[in-house]
Amino acid sequence: MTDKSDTPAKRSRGELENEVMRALWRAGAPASAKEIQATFEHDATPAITTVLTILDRLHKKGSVFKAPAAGGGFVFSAAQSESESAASTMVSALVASSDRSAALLRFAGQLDPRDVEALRAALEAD
Amino acid sequence: MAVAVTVLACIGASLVLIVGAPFVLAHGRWRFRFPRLALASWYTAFLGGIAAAALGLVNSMAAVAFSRDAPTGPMGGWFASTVLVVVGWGGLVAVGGLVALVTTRFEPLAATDRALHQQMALVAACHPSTRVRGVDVTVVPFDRAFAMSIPAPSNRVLVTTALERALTAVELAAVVEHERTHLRQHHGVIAQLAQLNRACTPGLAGARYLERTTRMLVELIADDAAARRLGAVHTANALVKMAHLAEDESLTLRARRLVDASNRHAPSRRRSPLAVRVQG
Repeated sequence: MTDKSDTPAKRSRGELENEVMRALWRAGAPASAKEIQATFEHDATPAITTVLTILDRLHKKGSVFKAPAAGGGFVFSAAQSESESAASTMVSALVASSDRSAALLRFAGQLDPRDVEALRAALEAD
Repeated sequence: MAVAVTVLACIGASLVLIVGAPFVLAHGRWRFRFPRLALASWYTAFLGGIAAAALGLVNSMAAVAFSRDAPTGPMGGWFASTVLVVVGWGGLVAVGGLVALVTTRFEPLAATDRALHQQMALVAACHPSTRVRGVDVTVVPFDRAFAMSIPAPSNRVLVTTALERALTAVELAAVVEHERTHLRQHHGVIAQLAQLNRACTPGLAGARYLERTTRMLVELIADDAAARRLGAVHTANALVKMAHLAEDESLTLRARRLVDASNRHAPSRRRSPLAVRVQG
């Protein structure tokens, strides 16, 4: 009996996106939605409509390139390599974390609006 | 009696410095013209207040401890003895409570910083770095224009490729110098001290002022250092471009502040409104 928690319907959107991206990286070359679907394990294969929806979403995010295929339809490829994507994720996490730590100082520092107004007033008075 | 008066004076000085000084130091244009002096004034008041309180406590405890050896000593009179006992014992309880509070508040902040340094170590290991005047500068591929400094143990400046593309070489050097100043002058430690102080005393307006003002002053100090090294125009241009990219008007004001300061120091015959505009 199949454990329902393993069925594609129970995986989160983020998990499915990650799996599609991993499939694209493994492919190493532009692949169609059907080819990407075929890389999933048999008992965890999402429907082709689901794969197409995810690819469309990733394309809108800029994570995936879309190009017309020779025989009609489209092929997809990753916009960044796996290592570039991992680095980007790490940097995103670091940037997000900088809001929480006083020790990390940013060039575009987050000044309090009251201090911004005081600075403006001081400049206008000079 | 003299000791009791000394103790009360120390406590009074502590209250004036810690509670009252922020209301004086938080106003006036001088803060923006002389941010280093302003920051030094803030922390002299803050640390001086703590020192005065500690001195009062030590004096009181010493007087209570040694009073029975001196029949004509400072315990003469009910007022003096009351002050010394209350301050001495009350101070001990307060110090104990403060230590517990600081420890409780410090640990989550320290945990956040440890995680950040681990993240930074991972990022730095995956990307090239160059050494710029004693500091490692790591450029990372990222589609947001961004620069930040990470203090010890990482001791590093991080710059994104988006920022690299947006600025000229000398403007980017000004940004790196700005971040390098944060590291060299330990602005991260100062900011953390202010953050911890506010976490321990959230109800005190002075603590909120101190944290807010610290964040502003360290940025102005770093702007000035970059302007001294790379020139006010290049630093101001970098700020203006970042203002456009980050949609942050405060950066334009910081640029204008540098230009105004440069005009003030220039000989009158050379003084002219510097046109600071986004290039390209």
